[in-house]
Amino acid sequence: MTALYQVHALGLIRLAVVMLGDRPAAEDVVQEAFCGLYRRWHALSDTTKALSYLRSSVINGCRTAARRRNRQLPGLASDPPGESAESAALISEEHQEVLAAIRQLPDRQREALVLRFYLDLDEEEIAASMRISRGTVKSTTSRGLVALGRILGEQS
Amino acid sequence: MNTVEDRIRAATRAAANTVPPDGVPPLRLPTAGPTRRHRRARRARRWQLNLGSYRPRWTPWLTPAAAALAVVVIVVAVVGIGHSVHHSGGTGTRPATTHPGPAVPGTTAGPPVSAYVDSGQIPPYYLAIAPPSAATGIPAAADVRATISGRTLATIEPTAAHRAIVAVTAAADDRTFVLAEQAAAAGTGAEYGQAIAFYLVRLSSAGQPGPLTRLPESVPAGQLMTGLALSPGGSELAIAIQPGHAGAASATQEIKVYPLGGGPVRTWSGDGIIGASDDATSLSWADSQRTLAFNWQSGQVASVRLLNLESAGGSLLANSRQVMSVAAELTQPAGLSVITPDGSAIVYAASPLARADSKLPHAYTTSGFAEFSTATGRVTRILGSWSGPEAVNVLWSDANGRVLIGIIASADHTYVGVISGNTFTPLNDQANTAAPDTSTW
Repeated sequence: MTALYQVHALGLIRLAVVMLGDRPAAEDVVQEAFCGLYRRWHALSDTTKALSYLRSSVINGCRTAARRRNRQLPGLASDPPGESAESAALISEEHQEVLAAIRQLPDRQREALVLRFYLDLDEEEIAASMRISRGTVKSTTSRGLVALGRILGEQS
Repeated sequence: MNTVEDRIRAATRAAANTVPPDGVPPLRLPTAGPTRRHRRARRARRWQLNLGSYRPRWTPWLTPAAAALAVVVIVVAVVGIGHSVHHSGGTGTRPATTHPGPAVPGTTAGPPVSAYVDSGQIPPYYLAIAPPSAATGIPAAADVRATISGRTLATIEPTAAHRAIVAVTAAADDRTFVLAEQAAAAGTGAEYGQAIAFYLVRLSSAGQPGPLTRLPESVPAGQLMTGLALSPGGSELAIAIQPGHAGAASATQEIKVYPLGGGPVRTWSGDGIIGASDDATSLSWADSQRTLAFNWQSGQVASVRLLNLESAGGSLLANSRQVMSVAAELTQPAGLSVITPDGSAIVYAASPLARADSKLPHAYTTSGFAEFSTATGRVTRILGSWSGPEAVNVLWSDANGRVLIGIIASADHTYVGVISGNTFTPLNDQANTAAPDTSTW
């Protein structure tokens, strides 16, 4: 488990940071994903699929964390989450605008776009990570791009 | 950095790089072994670890009328080119025994599948999209299978390298099928946004496919096909298209009906969404060929509508009427429904939303198939209702909806089977069914 963590933790934390824009929350999500895998290791039918399982757990964890954050801050529920001050200082205004737009998308559209264009996963891998069919990946990606283009167009 | 895709890549990588390589905290695992609570949870949730790469998207839709919910989606497929047909030893439509497949928890098994086929209640053959096989080098193909045994009788390969069969639709005779084939974009392996070509194939009485015939119809590159249905008589092909997808500002959806023998193409259009990409279940024909049912999403409402095919084309909404509607999540545009061939009802697959993140009431805890009258829009029959399965899907209906072929996803397995009354008989040889939503009768 420790070896698995050493190999994949950085990539998974970065994935969660992209999704959430919040590094402490991202680290918590990844820790919980590894703890979940640890508890279920003996039930995993194919241990070579551990990364796929972890990626799915991180995606689900990010979704839960984002919803929990919105519930805790009901007044801000409709506001897109932004980067932490520390992170924001490292990201250009153009990139912050795009990230804010991505985080306004519905969960599945956001996840499909991040997996496709950040991780460069193919449709089969995205389908496995999101546990949806390949056709749904294609249409969700397509609609996410349309929606994102619309949001960015409105902002510019 | 002009495209939306480029902007996503640059922005997400900039965000990711705010975490330095040495910024990973140590792993904090639980100090004790699994607790009793964890062991219980592990047993209860074991299914989550055994799903393999395929899991249908079971979507949360709310159907107040049916006390059940549902969703779903579907589909997909793949296949490539250089079309050739592989015949697998003998016709083999009947297994050594005709006992039912594995029992599905929470359901009651009905008669064996062979009884349904032998009595003519369900068709003997079906096509299903087979996933790519690294072992054989076949990128993806359409398998012809026997309903009774589940055995693959022949494999139809794509017509050339780097192509994929992405959807299959059937006429009512169970012998005539249309395959949708799409090229993969160079370098990415993805068919997304590429042109789609259509091929007609007929099966012999023994279930062996003849040569593929290229149809003149096509979906141009840059458009998204979200529905495909061959008419019961095999004379017309209905296709749902989103003319502009990636980068487009509009949500225009079209249905086109092509006479396969030649003649004018009719087009209906409106602002909304039908189905998902490569979705061969979002459209269904009544036997009269005067009515086409389609799933429709506009805003937060998803519905099933009936298109009047006697109209010359034009407005999709003005030439159709709504049968039933449910609340939908924006990201799950397709419902699972078929019109019965006699045109009297919509069979709607309703699934519970037991997910922790569900916004839906916990009262919606059963799966089943609800029949809505096309005349009144009211629920007229519940064709199966179970508390065990997580989700269901409907793939085929007999003339009046008394016998269905559909999908039940239980805790650790996805089954394709025959629904009749309140029974469910799984097909044999489920292991061959990698993508059950693509099974087409």
